[in-house]
Amino acid sequence: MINQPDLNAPQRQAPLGVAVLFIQNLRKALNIFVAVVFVNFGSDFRILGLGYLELAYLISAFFLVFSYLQYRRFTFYIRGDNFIIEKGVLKQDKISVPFARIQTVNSKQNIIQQLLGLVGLKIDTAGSVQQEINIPALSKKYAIALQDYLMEKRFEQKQHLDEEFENAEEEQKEELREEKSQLLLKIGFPMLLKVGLSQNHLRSGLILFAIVNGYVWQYEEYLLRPIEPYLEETAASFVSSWLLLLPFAVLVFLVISVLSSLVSTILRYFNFKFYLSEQGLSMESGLLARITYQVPFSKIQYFKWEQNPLQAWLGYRSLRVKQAGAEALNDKKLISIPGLKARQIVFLLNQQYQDRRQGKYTHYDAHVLLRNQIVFWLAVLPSMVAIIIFIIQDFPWFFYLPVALYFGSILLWAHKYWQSYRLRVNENYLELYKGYLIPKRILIPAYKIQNLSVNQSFLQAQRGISTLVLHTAAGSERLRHLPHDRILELYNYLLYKVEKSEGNWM
Amino acid sequence: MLFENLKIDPQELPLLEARDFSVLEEDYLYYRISGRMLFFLFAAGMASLFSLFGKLYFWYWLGPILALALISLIYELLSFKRRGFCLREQDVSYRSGLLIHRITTIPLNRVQHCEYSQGPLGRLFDLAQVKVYTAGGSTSDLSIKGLRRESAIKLRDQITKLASSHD
Repeated sequence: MINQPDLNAPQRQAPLGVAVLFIQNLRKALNIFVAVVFVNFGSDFRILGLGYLELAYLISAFFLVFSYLQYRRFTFYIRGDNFIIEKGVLKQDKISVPFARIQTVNSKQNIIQQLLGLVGLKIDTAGSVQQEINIPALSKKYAIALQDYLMEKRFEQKQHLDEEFENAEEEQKEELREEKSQLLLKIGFPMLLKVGLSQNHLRSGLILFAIVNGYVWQYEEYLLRPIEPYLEETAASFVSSWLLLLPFAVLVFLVISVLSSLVSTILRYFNFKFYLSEQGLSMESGLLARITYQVPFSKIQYFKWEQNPLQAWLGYRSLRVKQAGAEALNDKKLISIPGLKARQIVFLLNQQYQDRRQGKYTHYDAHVLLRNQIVFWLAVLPSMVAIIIFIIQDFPWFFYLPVALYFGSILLWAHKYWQSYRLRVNENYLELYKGYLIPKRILIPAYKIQNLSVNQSFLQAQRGISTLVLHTAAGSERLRHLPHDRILELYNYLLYKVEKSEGNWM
Repeated sequence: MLFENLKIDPQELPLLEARDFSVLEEDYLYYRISGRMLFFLFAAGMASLFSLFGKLYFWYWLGPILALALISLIYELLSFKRRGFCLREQDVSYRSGLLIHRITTIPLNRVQHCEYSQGPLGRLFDLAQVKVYTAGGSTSDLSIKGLRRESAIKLRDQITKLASSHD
């Protein structure tokens, strides 16, 4: 039994790991070669005078050597407070992970690893998704020992680093503990219907359309082939009567969209309960699958809330809670709470961010380039394409009416959108407003920022403006076309804020 | 004054200025140009096969490839001076881009991990790169290319050290 793995000298994986690597490589190669084989299937296929069998031997031999080299070059060890992995045959990679950054160490076994009695370890650092830290082939005993060792190291580090913070947290908990978790929102059936009917139907319609479309093309052969002759026959008459069919199609689309958002709302938010407690937010909901979800305050990166015209009519808003997670930016980590009143959101924000209104606000407005770019890309360009097509095809005059209507409404919308676009910053928070039809507000605490970028294109440089990009652990927000000098000032200020902050961003 | 309400004077904020950025090794320019030219050479090679064995007129591909090669050569020459990095006590920055100027800064107390790597072409030029990862998603991670092997390792170690000494 290995209790304490010796990691001062570089270690290799289990020798049988060559087999795991070999099969991994072979599978990757197979994915590529299946296409080649498939295309040439049946014909007498030869490359450089070699048939399938010889090629297969050659490729296998190559990968055997390659996998052996991969195994030889893969080492891991410890230097100071870092766990280091070196790997790569053609390209030498050296990854070092401070113990304090390790979130979890998971073990996993695929079929091949199971057969060979090996275990793969995956180190999760809450870093970017791309950068997975994998040790694919360790003996079972060693893997368990290493896992324990790393987790222990991590724990030591965390304790050491956060002692002061933990104490502060304990002190403050005492004050908060008197307040019990309270129900902030409960959605009964009548309200559920209202919430369902005030969803963004266009979005749910398009999502449904995309899903159905995907399925149709995936099974095109079985679904469309049988009716293809019929389709071709009617295609001609279909095109000529599209003017008649269009309103009907729009109506069908709308009805289906509304139904789909109603059904998905009922499934998702049936008997929805939303609590605010001293630890964070928690909620339970769902008709078929009852889901309870808990979000500790420290995991919340920022809030985003919006109101579409239907919601505005009912006085509701929907709130998105953006959370950090190792699997990062996928939809599951994004919690959306519908049917909140303005005062409920303000109450929640005040509870979560007690210093939210501290300090005077500084305001930033977007340059008119924002509007002009929208007009160019969404109005001018498509309209011009349409008009050119209409002229070439010699369409009658009334075809131009919808184009004019479209152009006008985009123009109006772009102007209103530009006017709505603004940023305000106070001591600790950034607040972004944008949107005319669906006004959105985004509240980001400065210390949740992971890193910052300023981009300035040629067009922006001429006008003395630039784009500020805030990257957080729950996604990025772009603040476009703001005055460059003031953005630089804000950039330095935010850096200062982040670097000075001792708050737990996760 | 902007943040007049704050306890700190914005004039006293440590500013990140253009002159703080150190320019990359000159070899990195040649490295980039060679990389580009290898690509165009490869494309030209593929196209010339079509011309030799098929019926593709030479100038149909040679013209565009030469033009693109020239444009990318000019682009590399002009944009090289824009590239640079800056390591300060609390953060690390990288800037690049000719048509779109980009600056990215990672505060060191947000660094997840830091990695050193060297590709085959990099080995020829004795150049390496350092990548700095945060939890802010893969698009926002920083990679500082065009460093000598030793200075890259040194930079990596320095960033790792500073990053673990914070927070």
